[in-house]
Amino acid sequence: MLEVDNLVVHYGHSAALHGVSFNVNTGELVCLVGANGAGKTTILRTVMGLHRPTSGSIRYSGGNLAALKPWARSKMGIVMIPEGRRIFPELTVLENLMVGAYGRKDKTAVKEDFERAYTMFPILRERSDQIGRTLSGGQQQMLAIARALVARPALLLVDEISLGLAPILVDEVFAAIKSLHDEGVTICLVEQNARKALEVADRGYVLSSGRLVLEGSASELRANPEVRKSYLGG
Amino acid sequence: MVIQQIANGLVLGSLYALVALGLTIVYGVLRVLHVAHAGVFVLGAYAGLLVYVSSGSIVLCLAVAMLVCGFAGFLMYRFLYRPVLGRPALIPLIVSIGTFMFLEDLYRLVMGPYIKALPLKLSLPGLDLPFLRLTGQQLFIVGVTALLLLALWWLMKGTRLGLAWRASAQDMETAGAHGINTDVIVGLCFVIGSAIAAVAGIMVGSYYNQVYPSMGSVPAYKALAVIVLGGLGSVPGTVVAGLALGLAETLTMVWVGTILPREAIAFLVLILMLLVKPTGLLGRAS
Repeated sequence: MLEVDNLVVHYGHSAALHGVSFNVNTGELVCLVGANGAGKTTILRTVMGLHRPTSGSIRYSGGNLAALKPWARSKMGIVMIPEGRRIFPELTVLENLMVGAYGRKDKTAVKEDFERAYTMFPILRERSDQIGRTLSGGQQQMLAIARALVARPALLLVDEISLGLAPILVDEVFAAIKSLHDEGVTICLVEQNARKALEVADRGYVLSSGRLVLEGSASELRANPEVRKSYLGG
Repeated sequence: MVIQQIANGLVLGSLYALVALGLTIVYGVLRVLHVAHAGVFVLGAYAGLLVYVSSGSIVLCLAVAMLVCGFAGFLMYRFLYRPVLGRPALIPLIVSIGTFMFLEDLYRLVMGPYIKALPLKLSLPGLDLPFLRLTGQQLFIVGVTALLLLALWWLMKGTRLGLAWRASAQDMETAGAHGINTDVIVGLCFVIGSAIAAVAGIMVGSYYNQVYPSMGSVPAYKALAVIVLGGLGSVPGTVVAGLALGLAETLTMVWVGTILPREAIAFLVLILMLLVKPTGLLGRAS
């Protein structure tokens, strides 16, 4: 579904990615793990169209994304849960969800998806008239997930979803991602918390200093001594 | 006497709010100080003048001026600002100031340096109470301002476009990633802000019965004071600040007299505000 080939991205004059190639097949949950600064977020942002690559290609459902703006990619079903949640701070919870469903015309199906989102996170229903910035960090992350859910993603890009959350909330948001995956959404997950990511993923890639250094099924990576030492704490 | 002065202050304040609104709307989405907005304001006054002189219709005069300015605003965004967005904030600012100076001289060349009269003939009755007298023209200014504000409020709070607009103003990148064409939204902000500036230009031109090439200079810096006072990017804040400045100027002239030039009051108020609450009346620290 997503084929990234030899992607090079620069910030100013320094390269953040030195030729990264990977793919995500339909229905898969693929994770990219690596240390802070390895280039994980840059990959997702470039796929979303928020960064222009220096070279390399990104193909989605067979078509080249290069010329497309982020909103055009969004209409093709690519949806991102951004790092740091990035909910709209002055919009209500309901309005945040309405932005999530902005590109959709199928009103009745949108309504069903709002219900699904509220069922998944009942606290959001209680707070639906409250403005975003007054939510706690965990609730904001739930809102970011719900906002992506109501967009009905075909390919969901998830960026550091566990960052800054209490352990109990980490479990909750990963459960939510897992259940989206079980419903058939293709997911590309970027995560510093490699242990958590490899628990839910089908396959994974290890990224180091802008290069992919390892790939394999989640169980292979979990068993790999190098990965255990560097990313899973021994 | 006091009520009369307060009413006069609010009329003046309505004009300030109208001029500053477009600036706030543009600042809200782009974080760029659109100094050339005052040039659009003058364009509105001239367009209104030409249409009114040839047709005698106020409605037509307002409508044509709004269309002309809306289009001019779009062109400015498309060909002046968009190419330099993403550069350091100083560059769009310089573009903006340069455009404003260019426009002033363009008006001088095309329309001549002299002051022209804009005597809108309103068939509106004035208000004549024992303690308060307002001319038909003053009522017209307040009425049109109120109408525009209501329309803007409905647009922002009650429509899909308004939702997209507010989302883009809060986080352009994330809005774009959620399917909102932020290019179109920003372009529309220029169109709407510029159309409001056209109305402001006609109102100010007819209030003082003067239209001249540099009539945008004083509004340019006063509008700047108003949007900072209101809390940069806040539409309700801008309205409140515009009205407050109109009141402050009028009442100072009455009670303190003319020790201070009228135009200095805006900046006195601005300095006081920045000392007490730097985020503006309705602004929030981010």
